[in-house]
Amino acid sequence: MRIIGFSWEYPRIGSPLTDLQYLVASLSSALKALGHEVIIITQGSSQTPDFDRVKVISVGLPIKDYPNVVSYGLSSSIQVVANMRYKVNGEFNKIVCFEWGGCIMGLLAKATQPCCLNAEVNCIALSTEYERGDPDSDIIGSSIASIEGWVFRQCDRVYGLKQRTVDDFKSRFNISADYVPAIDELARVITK
Amino acid sequence: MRVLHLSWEYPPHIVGGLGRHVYYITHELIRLGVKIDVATVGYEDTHVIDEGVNVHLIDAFKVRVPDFTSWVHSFNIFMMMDLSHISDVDAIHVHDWLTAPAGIVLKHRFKVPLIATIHATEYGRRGGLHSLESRHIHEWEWLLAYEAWKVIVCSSYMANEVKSVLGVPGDKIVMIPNGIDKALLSFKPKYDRSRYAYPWELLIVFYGRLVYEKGPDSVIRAFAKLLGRISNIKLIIIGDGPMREYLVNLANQLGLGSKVYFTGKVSDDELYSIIAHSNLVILPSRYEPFGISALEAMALGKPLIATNRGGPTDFIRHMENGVLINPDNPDEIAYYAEMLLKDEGLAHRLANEAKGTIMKGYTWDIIAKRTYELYKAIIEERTKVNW
Repeated sequence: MRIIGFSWEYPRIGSPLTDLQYLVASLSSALKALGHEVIIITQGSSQTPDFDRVKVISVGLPIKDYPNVVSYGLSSSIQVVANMRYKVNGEFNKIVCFEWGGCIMGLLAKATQPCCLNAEVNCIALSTEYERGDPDSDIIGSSIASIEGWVFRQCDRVYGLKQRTVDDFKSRFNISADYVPAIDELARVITK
Repeated sequence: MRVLHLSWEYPPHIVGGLGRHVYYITHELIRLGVKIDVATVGYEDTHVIDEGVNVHLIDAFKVRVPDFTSWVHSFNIFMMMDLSHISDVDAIHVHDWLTAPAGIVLKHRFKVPLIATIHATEYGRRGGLHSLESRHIHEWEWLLAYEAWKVIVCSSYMANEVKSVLGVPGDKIVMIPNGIDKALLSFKPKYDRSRYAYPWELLIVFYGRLVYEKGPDSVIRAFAKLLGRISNIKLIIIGDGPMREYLVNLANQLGLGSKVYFTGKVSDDELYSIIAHSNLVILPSRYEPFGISALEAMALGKPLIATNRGGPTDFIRHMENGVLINPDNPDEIAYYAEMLLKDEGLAHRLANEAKGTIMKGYTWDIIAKRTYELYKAIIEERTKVNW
């Protein structure tokens, strides 16, 4: 199976590891270990070294200034998809995207990139904005929660790594998500 | 030939002149045999045929956003997802940065030329880049110009601006002006003159957004000076904007009282009726990429005093088909206003010449033909490129 992943972040040499970076790298390795071809698209100006035979393509962002994190998340996702066109070949069976930014990239890729037109969109969330912040009293948080709700509803399948996240999907966004806490199991479920 | 236009404005959703521009150019292009799709802002995802134009209305309010730039990007994302089923497009035509993100992605999706009309720049609108938001918009404008096969501008002033501000090479820039609806050349007022002025009053008109860049304050100051020399004059200020309260106070402070009348926003029929009944139009913009309002006054056959900055200098020749003035000099405005109001022969000659200028080169059918020729040339060039 050919799998393409989209994420804001991927581990970089010399930088502290974030939860998202760990998730993307470990799931990519698990998918690879199951015998699948995996390419990860992420944003960044310098080339990220391939890790554990997972091909990582960093796409630079021409736009440098953003008024806020929402503008950044939306705008940078568009730029990544605009610039990935000539960096990948062939068709993919599955899109695996991480958090709302990666999911926008994945959905845009499915809508606009020939390599992804027939791929199934799988979305994986570490958490929702309701776990991270207070969308009811913060305009940025409220916006992110609203975007999360819309983005995750567009995906074919949604997975949460925590029960709380899955519960939030149901109660806040009315989305049925699968609770899959273990990375190896997640890799098997996605490719089933 | 099939061309996809991306525009955040299209009737009935109109904020400024961009929506009218897209409406007229697309309808004239249809008459030339071009298949046109327009993707624009709507309140639900739907598709309508507007006199031959395929209009894709995109619900641009699916998510909450904290600011304008985020809204623009969310609209572009919805637009790209909605347009994913489109095929057989020969070119994509983007109007300003507001639809640049979708235009750039779709250009690479279809491998067709991207044409960008830059109606104004953020740098020009704001007089510099003074905020993160402005810098963000400016960078998208730069990227749009960079990705475009050709950049269309409406005036030589704008050609210089995109060269200096966005670094666009000269051979990539094509100057095609805006136009006016041919019907305006034979417009008959829908309302009586008595609705706006007494028979003995000479009517001076300003219309546009009431913002500093349009120079309405200069009109009021010039009018105050003029009133000392001609008593039977009246000024009508048409339009609305953040400067309105300031302008009302200014008129009162200058003792102009009932001599200045603020109409607020009016319908097109009423606007053109007032202009048609007027004796003089004054439009002293401080920043004017093109100046479609000036074209409208000329098409209606009215003597016009316009800014000597920006677009109007392309089509107004001083004392031949209008008068060009420094918008920051009310004395100069008053001087020429007095000249035109007192010398009917001169005013008549300038107005006639102005109407001739419009008929020769500034109606939408002529503008559309030039755009069509550009499309043809670009699509032909594309066939010779290995992409």
